Amino acid sequence: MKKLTTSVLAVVLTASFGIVSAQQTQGDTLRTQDIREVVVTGALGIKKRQDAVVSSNKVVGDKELNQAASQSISQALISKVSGLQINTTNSGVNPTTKIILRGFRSISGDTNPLVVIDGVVATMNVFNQLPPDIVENINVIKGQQGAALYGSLGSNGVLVVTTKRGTRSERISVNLSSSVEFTNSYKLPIRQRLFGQGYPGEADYSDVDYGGTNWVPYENTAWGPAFNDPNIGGQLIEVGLPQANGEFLRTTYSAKKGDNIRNFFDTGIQFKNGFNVSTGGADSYTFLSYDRLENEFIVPGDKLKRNTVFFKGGKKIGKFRMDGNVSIIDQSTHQTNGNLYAQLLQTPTNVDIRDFRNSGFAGNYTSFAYNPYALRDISRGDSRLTSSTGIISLGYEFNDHISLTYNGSLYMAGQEVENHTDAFNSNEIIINAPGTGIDGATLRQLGVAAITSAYNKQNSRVRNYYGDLILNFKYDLTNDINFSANIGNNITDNFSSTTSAGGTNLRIPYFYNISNVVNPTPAYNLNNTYIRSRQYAFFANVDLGLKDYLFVNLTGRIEQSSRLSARPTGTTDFSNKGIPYYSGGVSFIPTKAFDGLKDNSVLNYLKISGSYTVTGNAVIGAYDNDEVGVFPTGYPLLNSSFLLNKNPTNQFIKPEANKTLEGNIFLGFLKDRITIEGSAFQTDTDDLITGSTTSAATGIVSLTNNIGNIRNSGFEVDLGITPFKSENFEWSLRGSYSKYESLVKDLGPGVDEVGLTQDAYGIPAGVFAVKGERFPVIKGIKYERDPNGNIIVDQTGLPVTNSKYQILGKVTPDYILGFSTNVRYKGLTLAVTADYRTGNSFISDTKSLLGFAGALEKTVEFDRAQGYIIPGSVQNTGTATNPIYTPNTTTVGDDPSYAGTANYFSGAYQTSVGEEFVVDGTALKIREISLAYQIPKSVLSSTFVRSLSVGVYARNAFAWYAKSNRNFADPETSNGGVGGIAVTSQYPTTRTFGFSLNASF
Amino acid sequence: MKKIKFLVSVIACGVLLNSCNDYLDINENPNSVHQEDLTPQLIFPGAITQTYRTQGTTMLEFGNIMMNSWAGNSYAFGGPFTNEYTLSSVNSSFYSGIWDGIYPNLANFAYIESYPNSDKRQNNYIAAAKIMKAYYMQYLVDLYGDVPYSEAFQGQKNLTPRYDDDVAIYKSLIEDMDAAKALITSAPANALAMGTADIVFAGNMSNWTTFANTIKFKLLMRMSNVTGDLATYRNQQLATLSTASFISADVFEKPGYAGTSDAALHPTTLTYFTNSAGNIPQRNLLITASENLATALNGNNLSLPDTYYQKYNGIVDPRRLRLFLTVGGVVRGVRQGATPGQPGAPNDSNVVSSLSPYTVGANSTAAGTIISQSNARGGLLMSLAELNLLKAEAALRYPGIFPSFDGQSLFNSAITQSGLTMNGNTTAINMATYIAQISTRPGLGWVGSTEQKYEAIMTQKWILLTQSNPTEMYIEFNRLGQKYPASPLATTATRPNKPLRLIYPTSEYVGNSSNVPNISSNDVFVKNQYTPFWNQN
Repeated sequence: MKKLTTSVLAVVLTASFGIVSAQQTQGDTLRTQDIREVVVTGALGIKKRQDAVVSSNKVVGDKELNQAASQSISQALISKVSGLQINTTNSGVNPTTKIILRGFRSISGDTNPLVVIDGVVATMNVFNQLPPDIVENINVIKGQQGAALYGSLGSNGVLVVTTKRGTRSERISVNLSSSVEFTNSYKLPIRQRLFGQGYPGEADYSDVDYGGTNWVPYENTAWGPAFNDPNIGGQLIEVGLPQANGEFLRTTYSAKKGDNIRNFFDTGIQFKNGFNVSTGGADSYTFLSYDRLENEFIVPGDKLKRNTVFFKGGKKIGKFRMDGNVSIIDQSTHQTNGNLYAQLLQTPTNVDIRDFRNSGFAGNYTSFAYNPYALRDISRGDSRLTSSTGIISLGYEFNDHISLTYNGSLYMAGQEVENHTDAFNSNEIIINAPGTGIDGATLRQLGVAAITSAYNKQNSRVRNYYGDLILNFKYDLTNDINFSANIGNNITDNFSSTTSAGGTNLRIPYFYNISNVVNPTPAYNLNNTYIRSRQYAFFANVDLGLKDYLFVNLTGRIEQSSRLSARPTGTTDFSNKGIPYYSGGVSFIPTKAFDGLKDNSVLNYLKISGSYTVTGNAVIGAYDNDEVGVFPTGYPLLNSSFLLNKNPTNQFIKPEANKTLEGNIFLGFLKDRITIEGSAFQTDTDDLITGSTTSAATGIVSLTNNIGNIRNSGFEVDLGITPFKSENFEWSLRGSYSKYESLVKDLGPGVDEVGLTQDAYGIPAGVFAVKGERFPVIKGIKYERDPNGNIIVDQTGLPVTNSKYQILGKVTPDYILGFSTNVRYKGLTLAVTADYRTGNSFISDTKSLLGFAGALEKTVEFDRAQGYIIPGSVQNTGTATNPIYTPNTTTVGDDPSYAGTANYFSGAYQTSVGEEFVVDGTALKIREISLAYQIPKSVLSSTFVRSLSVGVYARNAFAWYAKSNRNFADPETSNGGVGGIAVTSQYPTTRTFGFSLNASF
Repeated sequence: MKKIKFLVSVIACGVLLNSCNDYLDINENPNSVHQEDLTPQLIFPGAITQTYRTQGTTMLEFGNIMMNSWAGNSYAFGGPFTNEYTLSSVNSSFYSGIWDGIYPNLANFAYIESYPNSDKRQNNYIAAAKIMKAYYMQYLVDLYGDVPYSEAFQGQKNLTPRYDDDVAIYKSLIEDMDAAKALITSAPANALAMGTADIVFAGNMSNWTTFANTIKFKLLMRMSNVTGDLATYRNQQLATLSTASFISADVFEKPGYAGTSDAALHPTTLTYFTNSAGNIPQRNLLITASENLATALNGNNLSLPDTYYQKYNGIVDPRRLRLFLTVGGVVRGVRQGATPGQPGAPNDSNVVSSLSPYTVGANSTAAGTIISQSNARGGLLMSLAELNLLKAEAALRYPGIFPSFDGQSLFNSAITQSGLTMNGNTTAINMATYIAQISTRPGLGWVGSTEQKYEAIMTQKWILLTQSNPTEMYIEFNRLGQKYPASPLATTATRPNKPLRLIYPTSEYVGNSSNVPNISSNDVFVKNQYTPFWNQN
């Protein structure tokens, strides 16, 4: 038996002198037989063979990452790693994503995993701005053990990014990549197309009765006459408010073709161009890349431009090695701040919104909502961000056994954010519509609120230092046992400072400068802060290997963070305890250990591994535990004054403690034609930190404290099949099933629930952590139902509800099914990624708004003129103790008229029952489809082009939602927090089609 | 050789570890003032202003909708105030802003009360804090019954304060008023003078003493229906006030509201009239007069047939312009719950009255005037007219305790005083004609049976509290059995009467679930053990 070479177990000193040729094929774990011999980069840049990795991980290579030319790495990772849930929480020119690795281990705090780029800790921002093209691979460390060396930083898992480096050949290599893509709004809410603008009783424009309602050309709600009403349907009639010339626009009173909301949105276009040049030799290399991204969103005027310069180089002289890289990212975004979508959603289907493109606020289609075109232009935000990251990595080998490495990075960023709003004074605009009831009224009297001009500017500066000094040892203890160890020290020093100024009421319109602000916002109401935090840690890592089949990994870390330095109020001394984090794990490969299993033609590979990890998560910010006074609203007025802080943090708060057990199995059959990976884990988090609502009678309204515990458990199964594999044709399939649940076991004495969002935009429902339930759950006001499940109504036909919130659903899916396939025929490759999530729900603000506006389909499923009887509802004709339920025939509000219908939906409907707006979040999504053609080398042989490929791709190509989700929202979207609430201030989901070209010379 | 190198690096780390504590001692917040630095002087004005924000916004709207004084402009808004009208969703989020807005701010007064004071130099601040705390604490008891008190305001030291019997809280508040007066009396010569930090009485401690008496009187008058031992207690305590001095003018808080930014504006102005840039908020369009109040102010101009409107026939209230802008010479409102085309919201015009700037003490609709005049006027905590009506009632109920109270003249002076309070920076409204007109109208003026005089007191209180403290009126309305003044339910109401109290807010069910009584929506519409003690009979 051949002894394991020390080079495999040893710490490879640099992030860049790895076994590059092998790493390049990391993404294709199915294809390469001996892929497990390959080195993967783990925590602290420590590299080891996949065989020796004891916790669950997945490496995604550059090909897979870039198959659909995503804008950011997060977008590119969607649905590619089981257990890694990436939600696009808000589409936009610079979409926001939320990354959750293996469900929730905490009920507050950030779920985003730690990002490590080339061995040093970086920010999520940098991660999202880094062009995916320069990434060599990403090692997604799912298991807690793999992240244990990072202590509290790594409790959400780690994404280890390794960037590309130069070739080792002595020639210059040039790569070009280009893509252009087109984005459209997708899955807009389905609205009724039978009734148009109007409202019962609103007769000041036209007092003609159309089946119990009035037609109002400037209504924002579709509570008007039916389009099939012979007295008005199809006629060419006025629409909107009078235009600047005093004339009304006219349109036929009928549902417009297509989707009149979609008409508002343009096709977004994104250009992505980049090149890189690399060269190198045996002991040195350089790599330079430049990328430019220009993105125009579906909302005209929303633009993003990003330039990225990335330079990397390294040199080895004798025992000394030095690598460095510098990235400079310059990004500017221009976006509207207007709440456009909420205005658009109200547009009745007889209005073609494009007709009002140039009408401004005064000539909008309605007086009860803002013109989305004007709103788009009146309120805008510009952001310019320049950041640079410098990473240096030094290594010195004292001898064969001992070496010293230093990895350090300095991240510096400056950002300038400007927001401005122009004034619109609806009080000064007088309607000129002679002969109508609105003639002479001001626009404000008709409902259009004035818009106050405003200007705000914020400058911020960030400087983060991260440094690891590591002493590495490697010894062969015996012929069969290898030992390697690393001990080191980590220092993190983060600093940020923000200065803001601004206010309302611009004296001179369109002059956006602080000097032009008449009512400056008091400085203490703005973000003017200086924040500094430091962290200090010692760590040790020990790897033991027995031949090539048994591996043990032990880690330990003692960490102290300034954020936990506590100074009890009234004293001057700080206390701060070091917090230990540790882990141990074993990996065993029977197919290499036992002769009887070796070279088995059926089961060619078997690996089992397990680990136990104790880590933590300090989800509090700098200074949080320092007790301070706050300003009362509006002070200083005559006197300066302060109040006690209503939202304090316990001074002696501890980090959350996670204890994780994990077991993994990897099976390879038929020379890895079939692979099965399984991983199961259970994390118990004690001392959960959360800012929970407290009794206001205490004088504080929320307290951030250690409370209770949560158990996060789950498993993932990944199945890989390669049915065909030949030189010209290869087809591989990959499926995954992952299931997580986070069970809230305790929330501290006397507390049964913690409300994260208690009241979602007027809908009586919110997102909660509830003891004994899965986290997070949606709770809200529920319909009272009889034993048969029928809605109970009172004598006036209105639903009977209970006065307290009840559980209505949960935010996280029961399970996620992932699917991807890759078909290659000669140079042609087709790749598809899809996933399916079910069992989750969300609160839909859109459904509530559409109900108000008479646009819900359910508002036309009965005769509006006869009033609305809640379908299947019953009344209790017995007593409270002896109920007798009889079918209900009373309309809502006991008002069997069109007015009764409209009044219910535009009033009580929205605010009385939360259950109504909790929507099934099941979704099947084809995330990516890409077809790429690699021009055969034979064609290129006579040119200077070394390789050339062209491709077409689609992202978010198709999606199917649950039947009850009438496209109200993409279930992934949410407004921050843990999700579960989709609001109308977001944009609709989008889909993208694009073309790409890659060439190298 | 190798070993030595290893040792060297370990030693280096050890040295670093020692120095590492200083390195991390940077967690003092440089962005905010430290709690140690907060003296009573720094906290007192902000605590009043912040608490008043709830009185000047949420409680203003709650009281006026409940009293059927305000209505939503259903010509311009779909389904305004649905929950308030139907009363079908009176749940833990129904006006939870009152509890959540007042309670945490009262902790600042409690902080002042417990501020180190061995040398008695803080006596004035502590006394004033006790008085302000009692003033607002009463509303919490009146709206919620049993609430946390003896274990409240302790911040992190007690996160789940138990609920106290509302009787005990009332008694404690009454004792606090005596304690406050004693503190003022016993303040040493070098006691800190409040001066400008006193945004209510500018440091005049005898005014604080009269305010303490007034609050004590108000607390005791609320107990008019109690029986047995409590009645004895009430009468004994009232007797201590028989010759006491009460406030002699309207009580305002004047923190120096400013038009420099929205946050610095008078909160009522910002919510209902204008922002600092002069733009009118949506709520200005939303709020209109209810048909009920419009009828009372217009002298039943629409000749509504309901008997309770007949007392207003032909008497136009001279204060109506101070409450609402007129449309076509009258206050034009909407019947609560009516939508256009329905009775109470006729289709002939969609223009309705909006709030008069006099509500915040301004005599012009120009934004600049509203801002400057309302800011200068400040927030009206308690009006003298309200006190006079209470005294008039005391003259009827407890003639033996208050032999010097002359009901009729107190009643008339309350009406005269209300004309002064609503002066709006100009001259007082002359109420003499009105007083003469109503003197023959039982239930409106001081005439008829004692019961009719109670009705007259409550009717006048209703009109004069509309602008300043309608929630006080709503509580008084409950005290008198929801009879006076007759206040019809909205057309869409699903309950036979208005709630007698509020349901504890969601924050209690979430944050103090082991203590908060579990009451249902039905419980708040009938008298039971959850009803505030003074209203259980």
